[in-house]
Amino acid sequence: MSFAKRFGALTVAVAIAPAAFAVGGAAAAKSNPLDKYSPVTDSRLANPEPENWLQWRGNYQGWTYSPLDQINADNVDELVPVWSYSTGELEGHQAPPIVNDGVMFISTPNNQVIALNAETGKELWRYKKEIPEELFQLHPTNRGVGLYGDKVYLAATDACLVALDAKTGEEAWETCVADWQDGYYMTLSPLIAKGNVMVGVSGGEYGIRGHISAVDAETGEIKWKTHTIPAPGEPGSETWKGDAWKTGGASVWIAGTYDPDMGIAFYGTGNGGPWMPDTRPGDNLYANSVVALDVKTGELKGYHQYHWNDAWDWDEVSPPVIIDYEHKGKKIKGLVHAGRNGYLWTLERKKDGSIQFVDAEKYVKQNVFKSIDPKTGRPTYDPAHTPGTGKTVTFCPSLWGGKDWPPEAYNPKTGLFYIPAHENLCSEMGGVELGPRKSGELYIGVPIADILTNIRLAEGAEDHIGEIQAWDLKAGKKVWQFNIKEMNWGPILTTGGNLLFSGGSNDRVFRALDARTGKKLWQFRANSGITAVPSSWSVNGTQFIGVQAGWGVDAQRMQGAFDAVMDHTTVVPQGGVLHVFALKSKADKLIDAATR
Amino acid sequence: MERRNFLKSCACVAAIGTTAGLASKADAASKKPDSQRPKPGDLLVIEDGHGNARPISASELVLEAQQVMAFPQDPESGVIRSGSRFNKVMVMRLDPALMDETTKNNSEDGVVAYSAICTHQGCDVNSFVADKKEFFCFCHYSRFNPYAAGDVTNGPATRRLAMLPIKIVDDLIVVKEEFTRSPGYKK
Repeated sequence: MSFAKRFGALTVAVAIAPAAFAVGGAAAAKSNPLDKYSPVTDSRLANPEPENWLQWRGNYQGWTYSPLDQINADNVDELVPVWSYSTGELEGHQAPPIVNDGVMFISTPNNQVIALNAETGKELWRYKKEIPEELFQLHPTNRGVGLYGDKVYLAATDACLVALDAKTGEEAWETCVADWQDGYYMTLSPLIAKGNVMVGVSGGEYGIRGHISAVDAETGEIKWKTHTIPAPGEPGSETWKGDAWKTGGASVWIAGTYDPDMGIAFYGTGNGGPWMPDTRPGDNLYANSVVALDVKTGELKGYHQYHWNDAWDWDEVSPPVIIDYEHKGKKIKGLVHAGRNGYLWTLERKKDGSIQFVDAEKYVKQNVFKSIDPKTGRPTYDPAHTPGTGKTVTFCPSLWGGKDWPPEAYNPKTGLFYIPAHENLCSEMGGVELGPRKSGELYIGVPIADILTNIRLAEGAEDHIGEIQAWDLKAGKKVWQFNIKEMNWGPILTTGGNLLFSGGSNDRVFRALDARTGKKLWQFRANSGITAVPSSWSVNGTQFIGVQAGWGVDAQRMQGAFDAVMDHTTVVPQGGVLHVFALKSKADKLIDAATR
Repeated sequence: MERRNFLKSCACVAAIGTTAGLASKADAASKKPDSQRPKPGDLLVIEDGHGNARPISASELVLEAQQVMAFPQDPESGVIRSGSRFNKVMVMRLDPALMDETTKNNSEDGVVAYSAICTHQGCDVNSFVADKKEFFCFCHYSRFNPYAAGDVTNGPATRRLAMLPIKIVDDLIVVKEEFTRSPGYKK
């Protein structure tokens, strides 16, 4: 595009949407996939075409699975990079490439969305939301856009949801669901169903009260808002004392999963705030839970609390993966969740929306739960490993849990459920007296210096800490595990080619494993560490694998904690780059076509 | 405060162009007394989170004890300039014998005031590591030397902290000059 054309595009964008800028190369491209952009519908989201990746984990169930098999366990050693793209941003990149009929959308830290030709890597437009200069938050990232109709949705760090025109990147509307100055922010990918764009709020460390909002996809009108902590008089409010509910956390910073037949979304919730349990006595519903919401009304239909009155910063924000499985000979319409509390939870989603406990099994070292009620799933705690104000103890797993936010995956072909885990890792932590909450200020009750040095290594840590685990849900057994020397912050993609792709380690490696055995088949060393969700798509008969590299946020903080307690300093460079791979037999032709 | 209240009630729907309205409100807010940068003569005060504030006395500051977080207050109007978090400063007592010339000139009797906003990504710099004699930012582990005018001793930050020159009047800490550089960071 000429300078004149580029300048012209910029002028138009500024005139329409002053708080953003959008530049586009669309007009110059001979074959522009935006010209035949396919509107995204409920039906397409519920039954995504194999060649597309329409939402952050690929489907409503949260499988992070692509049925494509052109790239498979027999030929993955011929996988090569075909194009890459610098995002221009530092910090933690966590969003997948989301692809609709040859058009890719990636989101990055600092509230940026880039539309690209998914085959050639040509930029189609770029949007960046202007954010108040005084805004900062603990997790400056974004986990992916949402697609619906002819719009693209971004949940921004100023707690505002933005709708963009998918063809131009221009703002259609903006709706703020909370006040960033009061500690609220958003990093999650929106869940979209029945015309509602659903988003939740982060900010548990600032003393917020979590909620989920549904916004009309077309108009931007807020349709409903459901708090994850009940107000006095509402069911569950008896599990709070005094005013603790007002600042009780239970944030929602990961998109829910969704059962279209039931019309119900399942969201995980964060820990109660402040961190020490004696600051908020009671069970603290619906913190550390899965909640089932009617997507039309926001009505709470059911819940299961994984653990009550949290003391360990064990957010349970990852939603359960929707999998129908067999348990003791009985077919169950299930929910499966690898808990931050170190247990693998299997639940049943009932017809009325309620959630029934089925089973729970330790998948990493856990020394807190003394028992789990076989009927209700309610754990009992060992007080020796339960911190409090003025009470410092050690506990396992660490405050980052057996699994933090990085999504698990499920492969219907192998029948296995994959968990990115941290093993052999514990914490030492205790609380101090808190002053009054100040709006927009940290409200944790644990000294920052203690959080930064909380790591304690358990026996086995000298061998490895990071793991990828594969579980057979029917047998209730782990069938293989792949070890990583230090941390694993790698979301998992699995494919119909019997493959599993993941990064997550501080050596910057992106790897492919045999999804059936865990054997490493291929690897690539990227510019930075990889903590983003990988995805797969195909255009014109070529299957692609894509992932953003860009180390930051909690992975970087854990690295700092490791460096503080281990005798080493690890350098993981920062900087976002999207890497895209295809089979070598396709590579030259693709690059020639893209540069012609 | 009005801006804060406005945003608290802002479960709002903004049509095309309304974002410009939000931006203008932000600009207007930045001109309000509670959001203006510290001015010479302002007192440094501690807020308690309930809208109450008290001046910091120099004599309460112990050598190299954890920094105190404060905001400037206009002594005439009583307005506390906490409408902008970029006005948050860290106050502490250092050993004057260890200070470089710039730090000495901007302090009195060992008492210094620095911007509490990290120059890397804007987090609060709210820790002092006593054995290293450094300010510490918990977000990305940047460290700054309070004895050397806020110089960076460990990245990823690359720019020194802004310093707020102070003097002591009747045991109270009074702003002597404006920030040595703009507080905050570049996104």
